[in-house]
Amino acid sequence: MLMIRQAWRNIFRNIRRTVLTCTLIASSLVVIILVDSIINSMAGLMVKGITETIEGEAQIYHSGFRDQFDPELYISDPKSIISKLDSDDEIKTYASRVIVPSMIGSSYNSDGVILYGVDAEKELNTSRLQSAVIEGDYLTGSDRELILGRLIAEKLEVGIGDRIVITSSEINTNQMIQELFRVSGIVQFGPKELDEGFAFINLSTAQRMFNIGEGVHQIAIRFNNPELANSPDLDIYKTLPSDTLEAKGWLALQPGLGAILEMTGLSTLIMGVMLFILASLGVVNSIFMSIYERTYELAVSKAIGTRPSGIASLVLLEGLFLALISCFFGIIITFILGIFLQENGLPLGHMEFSGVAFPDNLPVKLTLDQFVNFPFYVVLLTLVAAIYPAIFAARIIPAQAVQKAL
Amino acid sequence: MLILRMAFRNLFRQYRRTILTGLSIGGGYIVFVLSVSLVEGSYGNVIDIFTKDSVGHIQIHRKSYREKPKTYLTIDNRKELEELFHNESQIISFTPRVLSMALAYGKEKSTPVKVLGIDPNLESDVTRIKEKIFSGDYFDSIPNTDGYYKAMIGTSIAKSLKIDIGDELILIGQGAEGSIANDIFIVSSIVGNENSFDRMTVYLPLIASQSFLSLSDEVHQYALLVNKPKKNLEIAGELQETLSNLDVAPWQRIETTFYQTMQADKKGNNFVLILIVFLVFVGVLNTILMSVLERTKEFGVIRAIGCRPSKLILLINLESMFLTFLSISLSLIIVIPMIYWFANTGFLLSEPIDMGGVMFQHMRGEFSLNVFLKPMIIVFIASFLVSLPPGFRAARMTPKNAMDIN
Repeated sequence: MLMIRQAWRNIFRNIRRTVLTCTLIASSLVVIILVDSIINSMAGLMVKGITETIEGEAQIYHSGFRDQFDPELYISDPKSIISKLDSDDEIKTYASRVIVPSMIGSSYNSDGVILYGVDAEKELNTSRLQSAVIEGDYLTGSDRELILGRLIAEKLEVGIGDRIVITSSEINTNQMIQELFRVSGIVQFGPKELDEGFAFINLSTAQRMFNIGEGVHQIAIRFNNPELANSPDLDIYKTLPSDTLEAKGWLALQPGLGAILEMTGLSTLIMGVMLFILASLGVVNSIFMSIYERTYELAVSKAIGTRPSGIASLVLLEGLFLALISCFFGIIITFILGIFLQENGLPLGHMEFSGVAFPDNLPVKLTLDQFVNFPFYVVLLTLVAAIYPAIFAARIIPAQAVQKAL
Repeated sequence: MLILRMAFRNLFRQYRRTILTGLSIGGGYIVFVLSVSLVEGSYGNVIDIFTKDSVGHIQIHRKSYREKPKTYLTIDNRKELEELFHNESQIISFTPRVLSMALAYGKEKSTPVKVLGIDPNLESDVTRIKEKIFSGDYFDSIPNTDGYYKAMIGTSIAKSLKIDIGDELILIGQGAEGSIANDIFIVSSIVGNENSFDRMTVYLPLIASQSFLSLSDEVHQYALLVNKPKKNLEIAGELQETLSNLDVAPWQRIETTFYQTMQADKKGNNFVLILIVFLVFVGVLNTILMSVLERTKEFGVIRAIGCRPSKLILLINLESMFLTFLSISLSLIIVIPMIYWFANTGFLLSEPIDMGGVMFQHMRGEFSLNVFLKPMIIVFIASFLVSLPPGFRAARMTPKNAMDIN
């Protein structure tokens, strides 16, 4: 007890130094928590952006379809798969799609797009298609409806109700086909490649147009628990795949995203290591200074019988208190900054990674475990930093130290 | 001179403190340099790749073509323009292009493609197209005996249409006056790989593309390379003044999304760097302040024997500058080989990252004076600033009070 009181009092003997050292440790804590939150928020947004916009958390498709998006590789009889999906408890929702690259033309211009034939009802819960409609209406199921991305609509100079001609070829016979549609809705997802490259029609229209019966190119899936999406134990990954069928989670579908997540994890680690090195240099320095000032005093206390281990413990305890005080203030500051960032976002400007557009003010979310884990590491590392000065202090030889001080 | 020697010697009176403070400064400097080098180098590298791959440093279009690309919006005063490019010393090379969309047919299949009409001789001065040929030969503008022109196609077209070198390729599109354009071409080579931006592009000789789209000697775009890529914004501005009836856009306006993402990322990086410098110098301030407090008596004596307060500030300032100088010099020994390695080898990410539509895979450093100098200046300024408060504190002491303390 005496030692604890001694250590606690010691750190307030030189308030200025304690304040500066604590500023250093606390700022490191604040920075690492905020950087981690920013990176986590970006990664979360990216995963959500990809899985919730169009792609889904997992997809079932004909083997090889994703390599070239070759329309010939379609699932000709999706019924058995769909009945399986219906009975799977893990699956929240799914949507079948026909996907064919086509030419799209208005009276003014023409361009290439990826034409999606979608099941209007199923898409409601699977993708953001409905909520992305900024003008006109969502698909109702009637034959001539077409929804266009905002940028491609601008390029074609069309608005709601205008005529659009889709030119493509029938999938099995490769006969050229042309169909007339009317723009019923305009969507804006955010990322440029989606808004300038996609057009949506009803699934049944697409199946009739391309003459593929009940066939579909892709079934996008959302799970009840999205975190399971990449677990290989899921029923659909185990039982569905065959020679002609593949079922994959978003991480396998988007290796680029995996690379980004890996890199962001790594950069938090590097950042953390750097910050802790800088902070611990400061801590070592400051503890050393306090030891130098007290060389005489420590020597006397040793001379009257304090064991070297006692002195080392004293120094370590001082380090511990420094860390605890810093964490206390660090957590308060982070909390205040966190609330601010959660409400206002971080104004970084427009960013797009992997086809996901981030809002100009990046919303940053803090989690409870950040307030537990990082302070714990800070305390631990401060103690590690205090070991060297503690050993130094324990080794003071009273005879020499007293001489020097005199 | 005396004061210089004093400052220098003072550094070594407490060598442990000097070493620890020096380590913080040096560590901060190294982190700073690495991060600046990596950010500048990686972006420099990717900018170099896409500007020389397709975009060029500056592009010129007819006004409003970029917003609404229509076939009839062409640049028709080619002779005048090209003469101007020849006479402008800042422009190294230029290439005219015709752009369009078409539906491409192979033997059985069809797919929408981008059509790019290029001058075979001029294009290779601006872009790396010759080096990107995957198989076959670079084409020329001479039709074969049947009157068919050659075409170079992207890898994905070759795969999805299942065509190879020597095969026929049929293009169907929309001509300048809205007529249907169609022509047969002979595939002369396959360009790039599946990750190239031009995997879905058909390259045609300029003359062939003009006759395909029923254009006379008109083009849609000029891409230019300039002698000072970093000054392309200013050069584009000057050109815009001369060519007031055309739209002169630097790559920053062509690849807007990428540019915004890069700016936002750099902003985030700078923010983190400022935090690091701040943390380093909280530590440094701590040390200098302590060393001043320790030497209160000494300063009192110096003042008493006639040293002016300004000299004391200078002394403390010089000490911190010397320390910074020493740490930076030693850090340079470590950091120069590191940066050299980063600049020459760097490391590859396992999967390319899509950043606002530009693929990003190679992390590379930049090795230039600026990379070392910019952080150096900032570190010196910071160390100058943090030595001021302790300096003023020392200067304000009256000799009597200072010597009273003990």
